[in-house]
Amino acid sequence: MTETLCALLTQTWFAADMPEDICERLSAIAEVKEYPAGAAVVSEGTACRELGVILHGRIALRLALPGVGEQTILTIDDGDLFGWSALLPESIATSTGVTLVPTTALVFDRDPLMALLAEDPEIASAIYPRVLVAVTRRLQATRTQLLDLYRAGHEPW
Amino acid sequence: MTAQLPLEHEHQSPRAAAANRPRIGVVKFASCDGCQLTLLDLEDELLAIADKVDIVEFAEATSRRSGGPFDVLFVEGSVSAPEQVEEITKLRAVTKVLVTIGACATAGGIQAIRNWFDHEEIRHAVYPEPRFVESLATSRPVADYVAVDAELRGCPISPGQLREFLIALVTGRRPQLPDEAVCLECKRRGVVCVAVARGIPCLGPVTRTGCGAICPAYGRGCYGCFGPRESANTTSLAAWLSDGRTASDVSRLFTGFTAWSEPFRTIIDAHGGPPRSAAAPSETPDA
Amino acid sequence: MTATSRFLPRADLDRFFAALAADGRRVIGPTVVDGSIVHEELGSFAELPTGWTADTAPGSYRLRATGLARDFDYNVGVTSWKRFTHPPVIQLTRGRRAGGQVVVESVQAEPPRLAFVGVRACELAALRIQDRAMRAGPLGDADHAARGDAALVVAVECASAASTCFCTSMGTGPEVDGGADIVLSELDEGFIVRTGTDAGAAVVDRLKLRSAEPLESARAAEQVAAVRDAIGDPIPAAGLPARLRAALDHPRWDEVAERCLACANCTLVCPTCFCTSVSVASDLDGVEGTTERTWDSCFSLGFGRVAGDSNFRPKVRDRYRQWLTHKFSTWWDQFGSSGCVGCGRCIAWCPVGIDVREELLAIAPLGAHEGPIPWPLSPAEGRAPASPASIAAATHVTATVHNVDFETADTATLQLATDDSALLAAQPGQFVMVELPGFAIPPISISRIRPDGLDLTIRSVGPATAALTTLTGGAQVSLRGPLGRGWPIEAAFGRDVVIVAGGIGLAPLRPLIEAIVADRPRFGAVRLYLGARTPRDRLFVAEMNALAGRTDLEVAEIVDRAGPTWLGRVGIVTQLFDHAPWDGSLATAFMCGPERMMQAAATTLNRLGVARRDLWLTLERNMACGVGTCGHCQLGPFFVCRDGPVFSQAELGTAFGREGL
Repeated sequence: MTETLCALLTQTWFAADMPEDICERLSAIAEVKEYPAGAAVVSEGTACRELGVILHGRIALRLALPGVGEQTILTIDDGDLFGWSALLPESIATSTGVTLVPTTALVFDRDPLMALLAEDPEIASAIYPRVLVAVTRRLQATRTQLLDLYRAGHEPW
Repeated sequence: MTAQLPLEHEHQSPRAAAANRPRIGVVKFASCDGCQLTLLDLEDELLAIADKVDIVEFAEATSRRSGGPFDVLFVEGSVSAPEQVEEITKLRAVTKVLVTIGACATAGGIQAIRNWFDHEEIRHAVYPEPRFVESLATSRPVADYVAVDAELRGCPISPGQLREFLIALVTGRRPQLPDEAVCLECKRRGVVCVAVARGIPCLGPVTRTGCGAICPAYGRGCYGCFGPRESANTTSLAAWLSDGRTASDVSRLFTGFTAWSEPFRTIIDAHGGPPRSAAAPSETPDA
Repeated sequence: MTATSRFLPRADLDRFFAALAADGRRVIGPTVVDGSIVHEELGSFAELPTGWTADTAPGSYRLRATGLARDFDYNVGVTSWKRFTHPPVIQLTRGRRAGGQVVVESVQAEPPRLAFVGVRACELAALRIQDRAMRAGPLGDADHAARGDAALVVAVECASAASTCFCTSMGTGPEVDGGADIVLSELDEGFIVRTGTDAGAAVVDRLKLRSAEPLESARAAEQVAAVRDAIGDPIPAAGLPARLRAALDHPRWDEVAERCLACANCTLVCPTCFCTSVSVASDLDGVEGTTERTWDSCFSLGFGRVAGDSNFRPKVRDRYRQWLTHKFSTWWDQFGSSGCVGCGRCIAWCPVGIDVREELLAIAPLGAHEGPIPWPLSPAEGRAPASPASIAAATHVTATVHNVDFETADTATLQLATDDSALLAAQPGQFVMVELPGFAIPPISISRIRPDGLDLTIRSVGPATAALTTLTGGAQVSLRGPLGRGWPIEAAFGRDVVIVAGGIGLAPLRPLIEAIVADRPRFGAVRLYLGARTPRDRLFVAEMNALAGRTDLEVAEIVDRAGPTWLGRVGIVTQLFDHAPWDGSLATAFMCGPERMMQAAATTLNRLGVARRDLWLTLERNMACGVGTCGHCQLGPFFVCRDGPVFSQAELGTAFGREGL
């Protein structure tokens, strides 16, 4: 089973070039979860107990705006991380993640994952840069969205 | 070379507004009425324009007062007295497009020179019985109090720019009100630069075009009645003009109808404020 | 034509004037007005500035009496001759719009038959240089060409040098080596007269002048040689274009910007600066509309203003750099010569005395280290402009609105019917100028090329586009085009295709997509990546859905923001392919969207292996004339309207996405 999980993981961009032994040690504490469409995988403001890597599917990250309702600020797809707040000391989720289609993810429970990262520098040094890449990508997206490039401006015509 | 004007308020097509005969008002605050006269000076076009719009208030031309609401309100004059602050705030609330006209409304006017001086001293110098007159310590442009959608500059405003603005208003296009330097108009007209060829101090390079370069065409330096242009580099011009002139002389050159506008005010402040003496200036732009 | 030099005694100067008048010409020459020597129409040569010269220095011009009875002892007049070949204001078109019917026609004034007397060597070069610019492709400026062709040029060789002269460095003078119809060299007792053309000879032959004595000719040659020595070589020109281009980040640009007033005087007195703007006017009823072309300048803020409140040159530093690099560097790419002739007007008439010689020496000193130079390809080395120059008045074609489809709340597609063969031969990626008389004239990309007309997809962002998007069937518009270089579809034959569209950027890509689909077997894998602001802002939704349903195309889309009912992707367009498994080196990419989006997409595509020469994108600039003669849309060596709007990433080099160019 572990081998299968590792194989699934390395098929994603997140772990595409991950050394096999690290992948296996990680996979040993992970499980595959299937979510139906419309499932909340993370809830804004609540403790984030799981870090997931989407193997297949799509999750909308949403913020609730008073008077406006839920707004999707980003969607994430195969290979993307959700619940990375689990890696932070406070572990409070910053948005709500809702599956838009049936979604399969490889999910790590926070406590064993943090323990593994703390005791195994090899794994930590493999995971954290990848998390950083994923976070950076998300930050770039947010910055570009902030610029609101497609808005209609005041034009000379 | 087109100034940007938010004529298409709230996505209402200006053409549609024109079809409904937009309600136009003309009001005044602290001013000489010269800009309103420019409107009357349009003569030929005025009747045709009056046919396209509904002039519901016009201080200089009629005693009719409407109180609004206005689709377009032309405001002449600076805000110089306490009741004017109240009045402009009320007018803004009932106006879609508020257009300030002239140096007083857009920059505070010549009367803004008092802003540098002691208010009571000025009041006593000007009025025999100052206790009968309520005034503010400063004369300020309308934009210091309420949002302004468009400006027609000048002392007085240019009939050509007013005509352009009105035609654009009724035909629903954007008025073309260039914000570049007077120099471009001078050169297009073939006027020889009075600054370079005759050493006459000229504010043309830092002043907004629109007047047709009248003063240089008559051999005088521009005295900045249209106020600062975009990117007005008054610091550099003042430094150049300082050669052979006292600080007071340089300050005097900028102390005109738009003295209170920020780029001019900065220079006046940096050169000791407006020249204090009431004596004849040592040098005027048309010296 | 004759190589023989003749001699015109000073006392016979009136006969020369009469001969010019007899040739049917009004004589424009130097005369003293308001303490300066200007070029005006002369009633006789008695109005010449006899006994006057001008002392010039940075920011200063003063007449000085010489005490000599010579007529041409000054150097250059205040005004350049472009006032007569490139007038400050001309009417371009008149149009009429009544009851939905639209007609626009070019206005062409009969050029006046003038004689320019007193043209200096540098000015002769300037006339030539500006003429070349105004005759460059794809459509030369008919008015400019006609005025230049109608003028007779009487040059005068300089016998003195002003302190601001540097023609020697620019290789334009002081000797007059050709290009003039008649050349005069002034001696105390009269003029050596040479002719350069049949037209010049015809005038001179009427005067029945004796041949010049060798000694007289020798004295004239000595005079001009002394001028050359007096000027020296203040700006060594060798390598100057490259030196300047390597110095785009020199701190001196900021220093000069502190002094520069951006008042535009330098550009308006410059005899080669040709930039103009178009203004529109209409009557109160909005029925009659006219357009005028007016001298403008890259120093004015409005000149770089474009869509979306943006400005490509917001800082004075950017504008000074644009002027200087255009004049001395990119002019070479555009027109094969320097844009400066060394007349020194910009030095004298700068109100704060900025000396272009000093700035050049500081910014691009001789032997300066040549760092990385942007724009590895000049337009000539890239793809050639659309077609060779033809000199004719612009053609305005009336097209009728057949149907209007609202794509989004603010964007409509006008289906226009026309039988104009040029418009029907438009290529994907080209644009047209769309005019409703009385309104500003926007450039609009062609969003579909049909056998019986064109589609234009227009977003309502101002009065002109609002007027266009509210047209209904049967109404008319006036079109000028097709303009610009389109997508090089042939570059993708036999290769994979990646298309990235952002917002309204899908409009110019639609004809390309349709051409590819129509010729599908010629291409490898075809992938479309579409970005939009919100789900409601997506264009051509049904068409794109139909494409997504095909098995031989991959279509992915993403929006910037969405509510909970949207089940598609939310984020930025690069997220659609930044982890894509395909090999970019096999692909040709085509992009259109906001410039910032295209930069991000280009970076991602390059990382995936798409070569810079295989990545094509459209640039947005303030395209006004559409044929490279108004100067508005310049980006380094390019006129976006003429050399683009489609460019390869390699052509643009570091100019792509660079602020302030």
